Amino acid sequence: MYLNTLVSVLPPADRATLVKASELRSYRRNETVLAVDEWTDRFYCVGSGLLRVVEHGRGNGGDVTTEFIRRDDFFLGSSFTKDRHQATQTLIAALPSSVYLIPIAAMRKLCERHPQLSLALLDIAMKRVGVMRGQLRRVSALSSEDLVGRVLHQLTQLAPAKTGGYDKRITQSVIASYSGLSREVVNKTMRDMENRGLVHRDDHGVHVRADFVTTDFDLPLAEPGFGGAGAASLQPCS
Amino acid sequence: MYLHPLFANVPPAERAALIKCSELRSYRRSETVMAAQEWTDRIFCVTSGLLRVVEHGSDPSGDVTTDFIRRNDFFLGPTLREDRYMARQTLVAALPSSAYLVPIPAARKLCEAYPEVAMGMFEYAATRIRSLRSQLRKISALSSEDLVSRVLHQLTQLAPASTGGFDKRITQAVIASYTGLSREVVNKIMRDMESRGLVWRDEHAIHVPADFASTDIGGLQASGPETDEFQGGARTEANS
Repeated sequence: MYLNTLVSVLPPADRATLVKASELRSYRRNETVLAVDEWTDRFYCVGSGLLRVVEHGRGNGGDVTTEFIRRDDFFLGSSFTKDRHQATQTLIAALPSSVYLIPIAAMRKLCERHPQLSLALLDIAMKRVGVMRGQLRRVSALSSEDLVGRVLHQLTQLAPAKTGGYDKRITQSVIASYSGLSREVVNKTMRDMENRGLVHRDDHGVHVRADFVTTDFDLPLAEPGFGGAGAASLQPCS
Repeated sequence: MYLHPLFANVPPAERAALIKCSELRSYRRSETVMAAQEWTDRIFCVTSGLLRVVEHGSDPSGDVTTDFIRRNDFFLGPTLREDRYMARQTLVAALPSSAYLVPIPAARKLCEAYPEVAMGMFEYAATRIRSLRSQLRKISALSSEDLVSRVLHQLTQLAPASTGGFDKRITQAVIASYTGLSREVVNKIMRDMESRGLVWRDEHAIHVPADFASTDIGGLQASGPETDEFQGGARTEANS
């Protein structure tokens, strides 16, 4: 779902108002976009790059990347009924990113007049629910090796490098935090895959053999909502 | 009769029409409410009991319960903008349950006529995302024992028994499928908790100490995200 697609349900004047009220900001890799407990009155729509959502535990050991937010996808936060709320997760740039910050209050005002906008937001949220259910299953049921294989394949779509594969700036610690494995296990698994010729690197990308994707697909479709952008995921650069 | 608190402010005539076109169905425990890959034109609104959402792998040993749908919770498809969808998950009754099967076109019509209904649906989905995030973190980061503790505590809220604790008809197999642990591990941990006097049973329920709730709380939400699903003040008026 693109910001443009989302606001296309609005009349031009309202569209212009929303775009004007929004702010485009740039973030370096590893920069915090929104910290847990911080107050925010915005939705976040990624214009370029990749963000990750980090859920915190007690102490530093329990932090987990629950999802990635890629280009044209949204981070909707935890409340829509209030103008502002305290973030319950941290949002971090996994790659250099640019992000549209859209005021929740303005969005809600438009939703009151245009229920189609709410229905479009609901689509985005339900797509996310589908992606997260899939990830929950993989983290729960797959072996470490299958899980890492699936995550590497996902990354080729979430963070594509121009030479193919995924952007090599995505670190093993990010992969560990998303797959719920230790860095040691991820490192060992990836080294093993490299030795077997399943994974190889060049200047920009980490390349993953296409047959990785045959590892344990979600039923019934081959990951229709994968990455959160649904049908749009097939044309990430259009 | 509201069908759901979300529709509380919809005029009575339209509420009645919604109920009339919806179907109220009952399910036995373990009965399949909807199977993955089935086409449906309904959303599900649970009025009693508890459903669980099962995500399937390429073989049945990979099936995982990703979340529970309790009273006044919805199971929605990927969109309300189309009249029907193919289910990606299987919906199973974890307890004897009843649910309204609401036709998507009727739900959409209400959303279009009453913006607060559409916004409420979206808020519901945002709440669901929050609890899935929390569950993902717990599964990824907690030790098996802490994870089982948290899930047992969650169950006291999802499937409360009349005597306190959670409904003992929730099986260890369900707990295993929700925690991503094997049944053997869940059985061993729960037996261990019982022998230490942390967990005990009566005729109806399995009782869990209150401090199970405080094992490794995520972020700010001192009571855990599972406690605040759909409590926007509307829950208390359910079914009135």
